[in-house]
Amino acid sequence: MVQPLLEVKDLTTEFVSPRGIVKAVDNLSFTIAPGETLGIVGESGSGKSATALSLLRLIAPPGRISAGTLLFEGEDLLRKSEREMRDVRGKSIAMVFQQVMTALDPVHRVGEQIMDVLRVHLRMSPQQARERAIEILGAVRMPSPEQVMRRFPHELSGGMRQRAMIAIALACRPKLLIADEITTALDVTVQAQILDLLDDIRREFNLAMLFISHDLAVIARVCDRIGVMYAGRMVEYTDKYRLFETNMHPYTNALLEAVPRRKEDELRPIAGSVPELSSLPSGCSFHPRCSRMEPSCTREAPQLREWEPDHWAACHFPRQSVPVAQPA
Amino acid sequence: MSTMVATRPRLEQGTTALQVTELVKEFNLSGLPWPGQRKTVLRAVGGVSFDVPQGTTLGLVGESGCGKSTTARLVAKLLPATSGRVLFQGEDILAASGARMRSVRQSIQMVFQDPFSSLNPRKRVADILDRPLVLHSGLSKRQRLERSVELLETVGLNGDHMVRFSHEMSGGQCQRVAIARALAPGPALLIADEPLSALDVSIQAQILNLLVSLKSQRQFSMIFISHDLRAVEYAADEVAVMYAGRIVEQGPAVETFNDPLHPYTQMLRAAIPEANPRADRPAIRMQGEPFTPINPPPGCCFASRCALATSECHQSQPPLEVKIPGRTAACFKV
Amino acid sequence: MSASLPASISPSGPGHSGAVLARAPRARLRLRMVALPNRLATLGAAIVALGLVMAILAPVLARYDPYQIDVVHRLQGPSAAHWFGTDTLGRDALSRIIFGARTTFEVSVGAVILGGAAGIPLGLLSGYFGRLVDATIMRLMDAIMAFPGLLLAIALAASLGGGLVSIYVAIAVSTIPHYARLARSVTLTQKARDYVSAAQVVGESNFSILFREIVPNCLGPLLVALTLDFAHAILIESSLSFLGLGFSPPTASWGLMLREVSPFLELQPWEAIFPGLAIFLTIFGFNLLGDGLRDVFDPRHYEL
Repeated sequence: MVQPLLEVKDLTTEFVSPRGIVKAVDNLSFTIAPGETLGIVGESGSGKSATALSLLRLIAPPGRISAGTLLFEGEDLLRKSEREMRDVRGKSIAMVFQQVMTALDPVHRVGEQIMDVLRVHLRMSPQQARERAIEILGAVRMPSPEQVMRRFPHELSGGMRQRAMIAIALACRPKLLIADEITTALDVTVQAQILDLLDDIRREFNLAMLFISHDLAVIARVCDRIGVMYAGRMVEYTDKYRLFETNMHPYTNALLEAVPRRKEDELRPIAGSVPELSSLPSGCSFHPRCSRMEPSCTREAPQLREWEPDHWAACHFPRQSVPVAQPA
Repeated sequence: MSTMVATRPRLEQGTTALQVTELVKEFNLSGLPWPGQRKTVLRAVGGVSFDVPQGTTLGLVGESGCGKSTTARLVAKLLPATSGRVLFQGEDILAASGARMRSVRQSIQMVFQDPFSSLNPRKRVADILDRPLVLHSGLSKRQRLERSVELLETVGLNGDHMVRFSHEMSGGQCQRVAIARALAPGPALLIADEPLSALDVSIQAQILNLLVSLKSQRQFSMIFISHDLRAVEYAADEVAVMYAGRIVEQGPAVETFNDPLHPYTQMLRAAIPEANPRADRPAIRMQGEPFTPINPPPGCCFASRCALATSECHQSQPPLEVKIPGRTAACFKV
Repeated sequence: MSASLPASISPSGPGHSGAVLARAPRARLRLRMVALPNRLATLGAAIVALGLVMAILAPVLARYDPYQIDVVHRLQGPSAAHWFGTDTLGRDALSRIIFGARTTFEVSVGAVILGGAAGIPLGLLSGYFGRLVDATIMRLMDAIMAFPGLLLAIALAASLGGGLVSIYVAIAVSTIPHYARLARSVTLTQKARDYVSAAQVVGESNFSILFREIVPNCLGPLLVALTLDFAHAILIESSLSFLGLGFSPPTASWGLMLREVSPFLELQPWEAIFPGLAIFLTIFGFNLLGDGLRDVFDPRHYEL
């Protein structure tokens, strides 16, 4: 087995709110091998974005990482000083966000923003940085990179801005790219182009990726392995084929059933609503919405267990012969 | 259905609920006139025509800036149209007077994209549902209260929700309240403008099913607007695909989805990722981005992104014409 | 209910008790509205309350008649008899400050109400109707704003002559554009929200949409602005009085007190310190309170 690039163990991130301490990420573990893409899928409040921010230690008060280890290339990121962390961010681990317009600096040209990263992290000369920036813009399939260098973010279309963000993230050739809902705000035809681009750059840069999305179909398109999160916990974790074809957790199954595919297929919604982290149901957080709910589910929270080789699920009754989510 | 507002006679099946002809909306972006200033016009809706037969659902689908939401707002008369005609049950509502329009309002209702924004944050659900009943039902206070609770039950909520504010509910619950409010006056036409896109995946299906089942129970007509071709195919009988302010293809939902005619619809169809890790990569090469038609070019707006485009496409606008019986497309190459 | 839907689209899954959930957050919200979110705001409220008590109970609190001249004991320093000393005419400074609170609150309340009553409706109309209404009102406001606020107040006060009414008008006019612009911007924000469109679709009249739907949502920011403007009004009144354009002697006004002792500043500094401190503290109090209210009305406070 290859040494994992990133190994997250028992990560817990809490937020202090007026209603008490809320666990946005609860005892989360996963690994990412070099060059591998892990997808994390979940709905609002599932903790997927908090996970991304935790990895870069960008959780701001009133939030904090209260437990766990984040081993990146064997070193625990949680033990690094803030100064060392700044070097990790952008250089070894880069992140791309959904809100491109707020993530790009509106008063600086795209070229300057890429060059800044290169000069700070790699101490390049202006000339070197410029050449490298144009090269990176070409790598993200930006039409006419030289011209885009001189553009301000507001002069670019939505898809080009997202490419510019990816270019900034890739500037220092990071080993891990965290992509948090990066295609959510895009139109489908533009999304398709960005997903194609991600395929290409993963290969060219031998990039490992943590790809976060609420859309299982996008995840299926991009990722090698997938973790499904619900209410701050990982409920299923395996490779993409098992997840889509022989999934164990009722939530995963129900998510797949709840997306319209063809007109003939009946749409089976998941009953109830996504729980608030401040008032989680007892036992298994999913039990009020679950079709396989048994009395024990209300009492005891299931742990993530490896039921089959490399197939993890947090459920007391994983993949029984029950067809799929019956309406509650 | 004893609980429905049944005061308004319903039209027979087969008649047209809504007939939209050559609807145009231009926004003048140049501000106050100034000597020597060039006029900048955003042609958000550039001559759109469609019918909604009584009791059916028309899906309007397209990407951002294609004019689908503007079309909805024009039909609901939330925006004044630049030109065109909107016949609702045979009456031209664009020409209707203010007083007449207020009574037509009863029959055209709307559900919006953002469920939190579409409910007044300072009002309880009871107050929100009461207003349309005050304006249109002529019921007593107690009857209105009972009707409000019935409406909540119709959308899958209950009387407990009457005292809540929008910030005390989830997005899905707020959207249900918004639907109940739209049902309150007993509409003949419901316009649902991206009713799913602000909701969690697991909630979208609930709302989609709710709208579809309410429509068949109450027999109103519906315009269902979405950027999601899959949701439109599921909800609609007929679908109109919009690009840059125009309808580029129109036809029965299932056929349009399975066998798109227009190159843009084909691209849109191919761009939808499938929830299947073994699915093939889209065969169609995507290029370019949807654009907002500011000072639109003379030819086909899609020509710049189209693999089939020739010089003809850049010069003149292809008309929306019948290509297969029952299906129309605006393309020279189909 | 005859129109029952499939159970699959019922939103409340098992284990959710709607009634309980419905009431709890509201009670909490109300609690938070009462208990201001931070200590500074509470301090501000306390300072303002103290000033208000001083103003209301002035005749009870003051040990001397603030207008009683005692030339023999003029310009005395703080002593057991006169805690804050006496002024140029031998009047007790503490009593004058206490009575000055009356003047100050009268003026600020009057001017803020007058300015708000004129400015806020203008801004609401401007923001809601837009186009020509907006253009007309806002150009008028621009014209007023072309003059620096204090300068305009001075000019108005000078041309209207001294006295309470002219001070009201001077302060009010100079603040109208401020209210109008604020009311316009909050109206525009609210107008863009879909609940306004929804009210239109339901068939509400413009009047109803503006006053039933939009105005309640604008009250928060407007109330904050009004609170902060008490401070502003106090400052202008003090400035006017100091410049001799506000209250005329012998009225007990903090600004006027500063003016009266200004020739003796080097001789008897405390005579200026106490009224100055009174002005400073009151303004400080209103500002803290305003900032606190801003936090309370911030919708983000409802969440979490």
